[in-house]
Amino acid sequence: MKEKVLKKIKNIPAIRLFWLSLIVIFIIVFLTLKVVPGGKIVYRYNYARKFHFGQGFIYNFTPQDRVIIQSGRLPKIIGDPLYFSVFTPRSFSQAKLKLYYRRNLDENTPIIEAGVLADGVVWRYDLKPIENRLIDNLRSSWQVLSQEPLVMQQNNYYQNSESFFSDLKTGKLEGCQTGKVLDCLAVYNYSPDLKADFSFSKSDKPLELNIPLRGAHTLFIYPENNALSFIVTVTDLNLDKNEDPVKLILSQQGKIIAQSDLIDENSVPSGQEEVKTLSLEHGVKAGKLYKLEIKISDDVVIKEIKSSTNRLVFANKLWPVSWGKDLNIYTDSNYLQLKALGPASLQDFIFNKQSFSLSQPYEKQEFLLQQENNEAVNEINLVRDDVIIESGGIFSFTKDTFFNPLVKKVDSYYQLKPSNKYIMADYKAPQIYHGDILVNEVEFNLQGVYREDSKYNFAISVPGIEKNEANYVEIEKIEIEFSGRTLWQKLFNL
Amino acid sequence: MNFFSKRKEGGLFVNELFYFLLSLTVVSIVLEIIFPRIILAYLNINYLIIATTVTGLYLLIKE
Repeated sequence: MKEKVLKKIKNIPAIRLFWLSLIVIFIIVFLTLKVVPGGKIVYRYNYARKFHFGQGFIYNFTPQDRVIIQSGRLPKIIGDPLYFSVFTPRSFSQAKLKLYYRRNLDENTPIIEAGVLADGVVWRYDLKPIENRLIDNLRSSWQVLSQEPLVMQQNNYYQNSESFFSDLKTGKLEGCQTGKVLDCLAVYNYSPDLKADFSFSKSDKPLELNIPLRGAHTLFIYPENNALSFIVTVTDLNLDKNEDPVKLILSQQGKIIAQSDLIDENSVPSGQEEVKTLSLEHGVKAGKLYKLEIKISDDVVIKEIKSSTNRLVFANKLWPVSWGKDLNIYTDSNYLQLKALGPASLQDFIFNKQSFSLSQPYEKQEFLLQQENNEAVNEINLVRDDVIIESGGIFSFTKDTFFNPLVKKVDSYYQLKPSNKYIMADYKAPQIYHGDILVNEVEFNLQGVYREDSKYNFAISVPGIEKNEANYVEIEKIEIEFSGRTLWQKLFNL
Repeated sequence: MNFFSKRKEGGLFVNELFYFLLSLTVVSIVLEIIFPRIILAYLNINYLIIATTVTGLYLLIKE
């Protein structure tokens, strides 16, 4: 028996070799998971499972007051938007997000979207559709001309999508009574290549805009001259320690054609204001539509804009500050989302001759015009500034130069009008996964998106979910497939 | 005698298991320090530490 024990002791090196090789395998496996040599990996979190071996790659939902977390139950979204971040051991160029969910939403909450934080400076999420019940409902009564992109027509105007697209290029669609494509087309997650054609009562003149605007703003420009000069004077408030670069980006049909940058050296002490000027001059084609982005953080105020053309309008958001006078703003939108940045900004205001009250500071309040309103341009009269004004539409400080280059969006504020004959969308309806659980997949381009602490930031948006207490979306599973360069492509720079 | 040898065999196994778990814990912690979250995302190190402590205590009591 003693011999047997001795034999066992002699076997120790073999046992040790065995577990040492296990540890080497362990290290190799985890290094492989870190490097992802194949360039493709799926991270998932199943909220229906009670036990998890590790913390996972998908972090908890924030802010906590927009989600109900109860043990043994699926997380319930009750607020909009809801954020979560995903840890990745390396960077990737593409992500496919698969959302498994159950929803209990009223008819005023028809949209669920998911997005990735594309720009960390202006905090912009690139949102993609998970579900749009307005389109899903219309799909049964309208005719579908094409699936990718989705083209739907109210009546039998076209027999095939080719003739529709060729007419769209010329700007004349069948059944369009006003003759303008913008009047009879609505889009969702799709940007059609449309011919811009706007007419104005007065001639094009240089513009000096002295109303201070805080944070990033996007403008549409429709110059009538062949040269564009744009000078912006900004004040860096230096309220936070972060760098505040200023960027002017001129683009046409999604392609950047000119850019001007101003780096912030952060040399001025905190709290001390800094005035800077940035200009952009570029040759343009008269009668063409351009997009100009003023990319700044909320720590920077646009003090003055000097433009060679007054054919400019602001898109989606306007944040006037420190003006001290009444403000007259024009918009095409029939709803507004206003946020007062302090009690001093609370006020009663007029929106298209109707009186509304902005009564809650620091909260986004929604104001909707009565349905019989059919005016193309609505006037907003504010008596106090430091209010963030948002909508899916256009804003302008003058009525004469107002133009609307945006195609109507099939969003939660969309009202189907008889003039609307066509809908174009880059959208696929969700599928039933099991029971009442639905699943849909959206794809994001991660090149150049914001990534901090090895994390990508995502959002789930259900606009208007908080308006009805019975509304909720339960998340069963989140699955994200990341793909990027393989190890060989990285090593050999392929 | 038979009982004694079996206990000794078992003791050797636990001894090797302890070394293995301890090495695995150290490797995991070092990897986690170099590449944050890479281990924790897949594996809760607490379970590993508990297993190491239990085997360690067993050996200590047995001695």
